[in-house]
Amino acid sequence: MNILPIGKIVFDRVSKRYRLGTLGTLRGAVAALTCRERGNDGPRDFWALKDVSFQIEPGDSLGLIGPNGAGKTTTLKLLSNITYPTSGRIIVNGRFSSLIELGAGFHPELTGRENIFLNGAILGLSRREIQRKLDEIIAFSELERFIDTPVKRYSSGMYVRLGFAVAAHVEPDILLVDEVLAVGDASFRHRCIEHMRKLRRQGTTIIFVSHNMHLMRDMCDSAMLLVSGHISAMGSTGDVISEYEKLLLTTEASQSDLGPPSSLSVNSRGQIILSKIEVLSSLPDADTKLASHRDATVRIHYQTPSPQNIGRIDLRMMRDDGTLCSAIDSLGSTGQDRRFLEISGSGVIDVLYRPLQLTTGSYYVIVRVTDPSDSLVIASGQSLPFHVYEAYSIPEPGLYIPRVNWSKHDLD
Amino acid sequence: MFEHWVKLYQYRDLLWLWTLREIRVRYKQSLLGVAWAVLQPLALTIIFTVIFSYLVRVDTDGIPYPIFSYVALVPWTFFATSLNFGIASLVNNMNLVTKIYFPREILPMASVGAAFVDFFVSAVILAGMMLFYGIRPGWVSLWVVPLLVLQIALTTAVVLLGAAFLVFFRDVRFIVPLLIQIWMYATPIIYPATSVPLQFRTLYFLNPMAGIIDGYRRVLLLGESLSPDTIVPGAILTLVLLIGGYIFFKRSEPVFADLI
Repeated sequence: MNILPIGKIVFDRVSKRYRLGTLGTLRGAVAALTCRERGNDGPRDFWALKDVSFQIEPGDSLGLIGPNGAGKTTTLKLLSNITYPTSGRIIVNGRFSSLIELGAGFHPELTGRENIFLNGAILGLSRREIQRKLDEIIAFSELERFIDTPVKRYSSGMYVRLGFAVAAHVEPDILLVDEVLAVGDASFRHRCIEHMRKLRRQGTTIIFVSHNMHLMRDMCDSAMLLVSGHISAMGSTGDVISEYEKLLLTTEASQSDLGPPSSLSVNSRGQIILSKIEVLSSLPDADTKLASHRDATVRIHYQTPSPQNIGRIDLRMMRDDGTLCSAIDSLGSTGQDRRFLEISGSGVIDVLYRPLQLTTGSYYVIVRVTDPSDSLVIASGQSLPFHVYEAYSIPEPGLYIPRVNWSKHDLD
Repeated sequence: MFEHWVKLYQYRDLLWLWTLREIRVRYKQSLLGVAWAVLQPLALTIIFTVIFSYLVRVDTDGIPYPIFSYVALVPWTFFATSLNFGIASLVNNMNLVTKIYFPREILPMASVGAAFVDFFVSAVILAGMMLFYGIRPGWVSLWVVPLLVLQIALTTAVVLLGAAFLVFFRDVRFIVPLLIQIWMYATPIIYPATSVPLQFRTLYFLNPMAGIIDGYRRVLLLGESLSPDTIVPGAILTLVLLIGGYIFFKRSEPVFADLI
């Protein structure tokens, strides 16, 4: 049946339906049956993927991009045989490894060494293979001293390191990566990426799911944009990412029309409520795109039933992968600028960025308000993600675009 | 069907390692460790002996009550423990089932394997007990091997069916302890099979465990050979259950991750 070259993947008109409201109990099943007989709505169906066809050649690396719920994880689950398509065919040839669930099947009572064998077997290694690679795996995890300690005594970082060490030694033909890079510290992330690069050089087929577009650009030759179960775009990574960014801008525009303030993550411990945090373009034409070279305003909507003394307003610009891009506060550069000592009623505070200077990408703003002693956060809030484009057609790397003057002086 | 077996064979090391894990985990950080494997049937033996040989007299065909019940409780505990752990194994390892592919029957089968180790330990005590009571089993006691094979087949069948059902209906979780209890009374553990009225015998031995437990007693304690009418009906039913259970399990396997 599998006459495909190793490492090739074919999706042929694949659809996947999930039943919302599963038959969890006998009562549920009976209820569902009687519903159907009466002609009422049965369990509601949800198509996670609809008629998706694509092919990946051996050695390619494909990025899967799309908003939450677009079917990215379902695609990975279908690929790795965890779940099966409702209709259509998936043909895959080769050994899998996924950097999805590091340390799957680890038991806290067992030692690191025992868990290496168990986890390795779950990932499809034979005992002999694990035995052969054991020293290598232990060395790679840098846990030599703790390898005979039960993993319940491990820190979460050590746990992930051990899981990764096993997963990294599977030598797959096809590697699936789903946002693992969100866990662990910077050096761990770095090793994960190095590992992916190494496999890529060796000709492993890679499927990479991430919201980190910077990494996506770096790791993938081509990308596929999934939107509510359909392929919306497929092609070179750069093109698909800009498609995605366009899509985010339009959906966000429609969201901001309808979006109730409750959709923002806003909370308050004191009497001040930050009801909404917006990031506005300086142009009056209600354009929701933010240009890097133009001014932008962060508008903080607040409400308070009684006048409140505050210490400081803290404002952080975050990139979507959690990188802090800038941090400012209302005390200003001298720390003496006591502009907003008291807040009463409701109103807005505008913070003007002149200009925004951020590079192309997706960002959000975090705002915190502290009490007069400046030791307690009494209110905080976060904006919806917003998108920045650059005036240049080719996006620049880096975090920000500085305003510079070039000059040339001949020394002669 | 054939490719399922190839897959299972490829993952045989996982079956072995997961069985080891089940055993290790069960007795880690418990004071008495694997002694619990013996204590469970032994405690029941003591209770049953007090009740059924002192308070209420049960006729045991002349066998001392302690060994009469222990020889039944050792294989019964193996069966009950397998059901308890095996049926819950898929749902208890939800994280694994929804995230990694491997032949799912490994989880329930490993539970049976781990319970088998307990069984083995308490069977050693049984041998000591038989020595103590001066029971010298002859060649006929070799029948325990096919009896054990039949019991493992039945256990695997019930565990596969139960584990798959539990994924669909969590009600199964509440049914299992009740089922085990009822099943125990329907099996000649505290009483001899001969006390079942003749007109109900055929029906009675449709319960495969009845023939199996009665069989252990015959070949080990009484030195009698097996009688086909106590074994064959249950054995046929076991075969049907095993094939049906396996097919049902593999048929429902594709939706486990979606429903669990």
